[in-house]
Amino acid sequence: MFDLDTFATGLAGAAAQEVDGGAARICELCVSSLPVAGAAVAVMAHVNRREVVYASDDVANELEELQFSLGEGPCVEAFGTGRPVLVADLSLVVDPRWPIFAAAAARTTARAAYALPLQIGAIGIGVLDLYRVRGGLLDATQLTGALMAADAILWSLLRLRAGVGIDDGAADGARWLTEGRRSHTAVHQATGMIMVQAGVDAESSLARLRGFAFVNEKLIDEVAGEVVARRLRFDERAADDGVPTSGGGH
Amino acid sequence: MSSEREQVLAEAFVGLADTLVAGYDVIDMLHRLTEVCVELLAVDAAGMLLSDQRGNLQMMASSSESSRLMELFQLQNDEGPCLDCYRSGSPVVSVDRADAAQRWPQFAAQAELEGFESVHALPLRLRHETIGALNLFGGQQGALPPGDLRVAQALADVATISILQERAVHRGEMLAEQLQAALNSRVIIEQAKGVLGERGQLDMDQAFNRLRTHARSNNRRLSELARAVVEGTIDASEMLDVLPVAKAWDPTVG
Repeated sequence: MFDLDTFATGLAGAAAQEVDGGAARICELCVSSLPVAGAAVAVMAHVNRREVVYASDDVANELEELQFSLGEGPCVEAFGTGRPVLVADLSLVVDPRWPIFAAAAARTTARAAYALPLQIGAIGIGVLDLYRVRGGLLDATQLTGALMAADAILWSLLRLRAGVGIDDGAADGARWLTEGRRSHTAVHQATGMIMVQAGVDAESSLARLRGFAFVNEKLIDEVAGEVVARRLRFDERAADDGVPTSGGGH
Repeated sequence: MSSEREQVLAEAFVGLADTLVAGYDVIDMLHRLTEVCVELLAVDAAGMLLSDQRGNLQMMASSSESSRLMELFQLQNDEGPCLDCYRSGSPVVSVDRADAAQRWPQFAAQAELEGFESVHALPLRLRHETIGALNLFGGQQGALPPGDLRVAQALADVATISILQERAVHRGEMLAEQLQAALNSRVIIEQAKGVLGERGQLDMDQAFNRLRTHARSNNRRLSELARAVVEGTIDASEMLDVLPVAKAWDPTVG
């Protein structure tokens, strides 16, 4: 029986403690808690350039390799469209989205696959792929767990890619996961503003915001609110250390 | 119902149906719906919240800044008619502030600040599932006429359909796919508002209006345009040329 609260606690723990092993730890948690046989995480520079950072078993790995050599499949679709792709019956070759992959996947033990994009708005870095040997879909609670796992992996990978160590920012992923009914609107708006202020892409912009929040022991939403209110700026010249300047001029 | 009123109502639904048949952007559609609520019903503002399937509700659309604040306030305090409506799956009606103060003290205090006297919340329903709620705020006391309430529920149903209809509904997993896509589109739009707001020294509402105006006049989907702004594949100055950029802002200083 899948228990969402226990699962969420496990995710928060994995996101808070693990640095380079975060994605692996969360995949293992998915396999042990959700009704899935395997899990894999693919990180992508774009649709045709990717790296499998973790696969829980040979089948999970083979599904990744198949999709990228064929250029089609649920993972490719999820990354390209930015929406989850939940396939109850992988052997249905009639699916016009991946006719060749379906035929190839039918030779593996996988019967259902769920591909969840790792993304925050325009920031999309990869996909969490889950498979199982019996067909069908996850129920609503299990799907919630899978979506939360994708969030936790995204957060963990963003931290790793930003070169943030375990000492700074360890708890923020966990915090994001457990903040309950909070809307992160200001975080997304501030991400866009800092992109212009500092001349960086969206992912680096979010990393700056998060790094500053941690160093100053504030919630990321609080810091984002200051940016949106134009009381705080992250200027270009501070690109080396991410130190923002007070925006008293506005 | 007066014939004039019927005419307005018919036109609104025809307009929404046209949008659904043609290529459309779900976020733009939801915003349009909140505006239609204000045009058609005896209410002054409207807002819409959607489940993110992670146990949270997210703000998706609002007819004005004050209704946007009211929605965010409910989310932050975990209290209010929209949340009750979402959790119960039934309409919630509060006809005056005394009633609201008893049921949601923090919400009522905030409503007073924004000048709202009455509030209605209607569920966004799909079969047995509630996926969100539509909130209607009135500056006057009293319940909506029964006819208005039916129209409001019909508009909420149109919102549900517009979220699910972006592609043909034929598989059980559609709801999750569509809902997550809509939620992510909302996030991209917020990121694009930040970029435009900073480039043009606009507040977030102005930035949103520039984005939407440009999308409409160039026949582009709102969320596609927003993505292009964030990814830098469109020159944002096209959207900022409408009014001169504030002199205080110097791009070389950043």
